[in-house]
Amino acid sequence: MAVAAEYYLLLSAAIFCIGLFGVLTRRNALIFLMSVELMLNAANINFVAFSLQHGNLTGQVFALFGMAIAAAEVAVGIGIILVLYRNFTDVDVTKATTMRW
Amino acid sequence: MTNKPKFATEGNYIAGLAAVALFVVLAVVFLTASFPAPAGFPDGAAITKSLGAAMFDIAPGQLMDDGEAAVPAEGFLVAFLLIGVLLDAALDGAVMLAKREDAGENVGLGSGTDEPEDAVAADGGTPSGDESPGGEE
Repeated sequence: MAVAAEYYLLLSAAIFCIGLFGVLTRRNALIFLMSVELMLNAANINFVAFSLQHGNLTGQVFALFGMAIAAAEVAVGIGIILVLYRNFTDVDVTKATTMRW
Repeated sequence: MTNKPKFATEGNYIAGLAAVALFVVLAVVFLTASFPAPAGFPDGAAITKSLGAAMFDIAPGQLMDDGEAAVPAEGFLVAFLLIGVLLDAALDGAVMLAKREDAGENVGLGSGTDEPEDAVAADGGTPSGDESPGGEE
């Protein structure tokens, strides 16, 4: 009945690589943020899968904390994108090459 | 006329091959590795109750009804409180980044003396000549 651990790892690797693909190819900062979310959630899948593998709930609690970290990251990321848009009138990450003081 | 979805063509898709290559490497490693059968959880395991007990460092046996088995986990009370502080700090950081100091003046990463003329008021700004600015300052 239980799914073998390899397939959880494969799903997680696929989601992580989709996120990495987004970070490497896209230029819109909002899509960057979504891609980083995908990579964080791939880590959460691994935590939950190995929680079942070891019969211990520590991994599931850690996945909950991973979601909280992701929420904090998005809050700060959206704020940074807002400032980026104010200063460059664009959310293209390749245009924001200077950090003026 | 409606907009229809279009493929994004502006990206650098050569760099994306690195992500595909990483997936191939990971898939080969995972599918050739061998894992023991998963230990799983016992019959009648109260997963959610055990999660709550682990998060607040309560002994899980105290919460269980008849026929419910506790699942072992470590205590995470300190981590729980630290994450709460982190979320609070992130909320403050987001508000600090999104707020303008004075009406119409840019604040944050790039605020300098040479303001571009076409700066966009992303928060709607405040009406000029208003003696009583709304919101908290």
